[in-house]
Amino acid sequence: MQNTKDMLQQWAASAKSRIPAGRGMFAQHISLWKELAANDFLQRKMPLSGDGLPQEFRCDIKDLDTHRVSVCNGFVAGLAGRNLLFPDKKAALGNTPCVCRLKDLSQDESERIQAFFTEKEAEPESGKIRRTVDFAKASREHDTLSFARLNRELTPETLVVYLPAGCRLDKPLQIVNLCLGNEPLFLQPHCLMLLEKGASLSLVHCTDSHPQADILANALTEIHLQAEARLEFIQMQNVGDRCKIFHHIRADLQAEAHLNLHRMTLNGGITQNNTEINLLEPKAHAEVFGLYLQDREQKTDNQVKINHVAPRTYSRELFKGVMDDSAQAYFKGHVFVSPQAQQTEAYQSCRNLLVSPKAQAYAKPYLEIYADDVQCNHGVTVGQLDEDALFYMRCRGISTESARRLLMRAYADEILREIGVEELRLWLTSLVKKRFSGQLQACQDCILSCTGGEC
Amino acid sequence: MKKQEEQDQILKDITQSDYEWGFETEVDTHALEKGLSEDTIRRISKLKEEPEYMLEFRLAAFAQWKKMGEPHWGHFDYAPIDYQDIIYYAAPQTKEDNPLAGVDPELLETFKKLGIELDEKKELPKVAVDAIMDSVSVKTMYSEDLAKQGIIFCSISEAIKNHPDLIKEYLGSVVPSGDNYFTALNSAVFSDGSFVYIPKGVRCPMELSSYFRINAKESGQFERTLIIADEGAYVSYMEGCTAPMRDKNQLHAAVVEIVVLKDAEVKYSTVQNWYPGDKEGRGGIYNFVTKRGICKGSRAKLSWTQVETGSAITWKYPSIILKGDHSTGEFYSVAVTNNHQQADTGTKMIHIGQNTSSTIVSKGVSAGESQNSYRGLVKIMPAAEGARNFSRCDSLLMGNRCGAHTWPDIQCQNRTAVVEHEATTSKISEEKLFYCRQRGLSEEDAVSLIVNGYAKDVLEQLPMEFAAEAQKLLSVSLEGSVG
Repeated sequence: MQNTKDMLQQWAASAKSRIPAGRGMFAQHISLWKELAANDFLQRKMPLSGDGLPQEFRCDIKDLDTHRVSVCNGFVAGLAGRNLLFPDKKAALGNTPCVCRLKDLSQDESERIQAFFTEKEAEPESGKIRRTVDFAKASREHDTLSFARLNRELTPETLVVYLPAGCRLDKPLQIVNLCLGNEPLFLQPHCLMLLEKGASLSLVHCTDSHPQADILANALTEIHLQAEARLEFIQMQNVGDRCKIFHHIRADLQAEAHLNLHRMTLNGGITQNNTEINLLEPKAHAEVFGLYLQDREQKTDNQVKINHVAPRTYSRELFKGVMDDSAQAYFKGHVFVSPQAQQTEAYQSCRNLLVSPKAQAYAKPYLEIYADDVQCNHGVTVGQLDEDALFYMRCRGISTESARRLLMRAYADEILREIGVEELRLWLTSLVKKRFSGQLQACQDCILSCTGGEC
Repeated sequence: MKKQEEQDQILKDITQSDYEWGFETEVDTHALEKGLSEDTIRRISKLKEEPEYMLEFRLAAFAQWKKMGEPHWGHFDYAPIDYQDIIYYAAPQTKEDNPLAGVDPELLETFKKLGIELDEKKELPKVAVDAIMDSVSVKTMYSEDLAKQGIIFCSISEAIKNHPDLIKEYLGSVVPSGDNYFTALNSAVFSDGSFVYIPKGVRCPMELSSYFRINAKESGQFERTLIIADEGAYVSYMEGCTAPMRDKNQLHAAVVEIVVLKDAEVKYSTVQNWYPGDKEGRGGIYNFVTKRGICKGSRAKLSWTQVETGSAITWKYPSIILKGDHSTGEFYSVAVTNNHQQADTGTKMIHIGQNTSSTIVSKGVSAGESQNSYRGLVKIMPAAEGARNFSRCDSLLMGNRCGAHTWPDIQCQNRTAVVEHEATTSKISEEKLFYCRQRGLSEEDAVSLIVNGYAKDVLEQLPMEFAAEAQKLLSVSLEGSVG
């Protein structure tokens, strides 16, 4: 594995020169470049095999009945060469839905699925002066492309989720992504997801860790939805305070495909949720929801880029956060409408509640529009709970504390009620309730059954 | 009958699509040769008979400029600027030294053609004008009248000679020389501009105004304006600008600094109408301007209002630092781009003091093949308890080859602050157009009416003298962009 080490050294060296300047109007506060340039980065280990890691995890969410697949430190758990949904079948992209490792597929099939996710454009030159024609292209962020490349080159195993045309699973699929280890790690979980024409899937994606784990992850999930396919993707993050998770989700949508993406950040030292959605054909429809509940010194960064490339496409973003203690939240939403994307509708909204004197919120809601027949709007607010509402409840004998909690729950509920998986929604609602009433430390209720007694 | 004629005239004015301020005046001009070096700066300083401290200020800025690079984060596409191919000082020659008789009739005629009467006897609504052609101030009106109340209104060159204390204290205090590439350039080579000082408790009895005109070929204009409102003072200041039509781009890099002390109020209005270039995008002014004010004392108030219709490139972010407790900042802007114009404009509101509040209203209209961006920063510092911001920025698109963009940045570091930002982008609604057309308005008139209505929130903030001109300008700028 000498090559990997060399490569990491190269990346760490180049990262130093690529950290965005720390001042000015457009500085980036959270960046994987910063982590790669950190002094201790090269001390991090990259696990070389999944041997000895636990293979099966139980889930704490009551009544949540799912097909479960576990990924541990980037390694897929389960029998080699098998379809993990139906272990009696071989891994293949046939008429049955399939969840497997990429390397378990035949050469042809592996190439077939990878063709959907190859980068067609070259990495844009950084620092080049752009012309109007360059601006009007749905070009991708330089950093995003670089880190996707890093992930693809270093990932030990790629998880494949495949649904053939018109297929629908009987229950949601759950991917449990675990980060374990007693020493600092650098992980590259990678997942490819292909839904053929008219297929439909509910997916619950959880990322969890030991409360003490020290993990830096550069995760990549690539999604391709063919015409009329529907995907509900609920991503939850509940990792320890020392974990730094950079999770990039990229989705390409064909005609009339429908994507519902939920990004729930419940706990984590530094979390960057990077979302890129390309609406490639007419009537593609995407909705992105985000909820982040931060306290102590946690930092979250939600970056959403939506490229409207075809006419009559729709997108909606709604992000809400509550920041306590010294937590910081960053939001950068970027709606891009190309000259061809007439009759686009795009809505973007980010609401932040600051509940402690040291909490901070930053937002950059961008609109970049090159077509005239569009309806686009965005709104950002930073503030506190509604004083009038608090007063109303206090008049009716509700204590200030309870009234505040009620209002915060109502605030979070706007995001939670969009979740289509009933059992999960109830569980999350009760979790949020407990969190607001202060009964819940992050570690409690985590789905790891740790044995070390830290919990 | 007369009414009919008036209406015809208005109609003619509105539909006249050419840039009517594009004429050139034949006056003798004294100009330095092209190029920028330490020597150029020494010569500018010498020509202006400046004291030593100004030369040092300029040279220090030039040293900083040499170390900086041109910024490229704006949403622009333009050929590189050759800073050695610009004339940095051009002065229309005055024939005599006597300031009253000395103004060349040709110059008076020029400003008359621009609608500015420099003869104090003839001017009806009392507005004091500082007229600036190329690199020098031609005439400052009513200086004597104003001086009786202790108000200083003169060109900045005079202020450097006559009021060194104020200049030393405030010049560069809000916009330091090294703030950005263009401020450094301006600080090194600025030639003239206006200076205003309103003493304690004085309410300026008339609107003050400066009018900027670029006339000389291949020259750049680098003016510098400094306004100081002492405790409890009030002033309303207006700024207008035009330039002749030329195929070659000309550079305009100005700096405006405003200091508002305790309980004072300053209202700054701009109608920017530099030559925007022709329909194919040839020529036009590159307008790189840094404007910033500080509300230094408690309850100070500063308001920026701008109507941007000209320039090939507009790069302008009038900002306010709200340092005093309970101070207020306002920014109202209409930016119209047509043909190949590119505008990247907005504001920065920095809240430092307690209970400070700011309002941002920005209306963008893009037509033709133009690009129009709003870029703004709202920053609430940790100490700004109870700060309040409301921003609204709307964009209107006309035609499918233009672009409208919004790049806001909100940074909130205090939990008691309330920040709200809203933006919409859409085209002129078919229903509204249909309604107007049905009632007999032509499509052009209907669009003009709708755009004026859309921009009304901002136009209302303009002083009366400006409002009518601005409305006319909006219609003219959009001429030919429908259908």
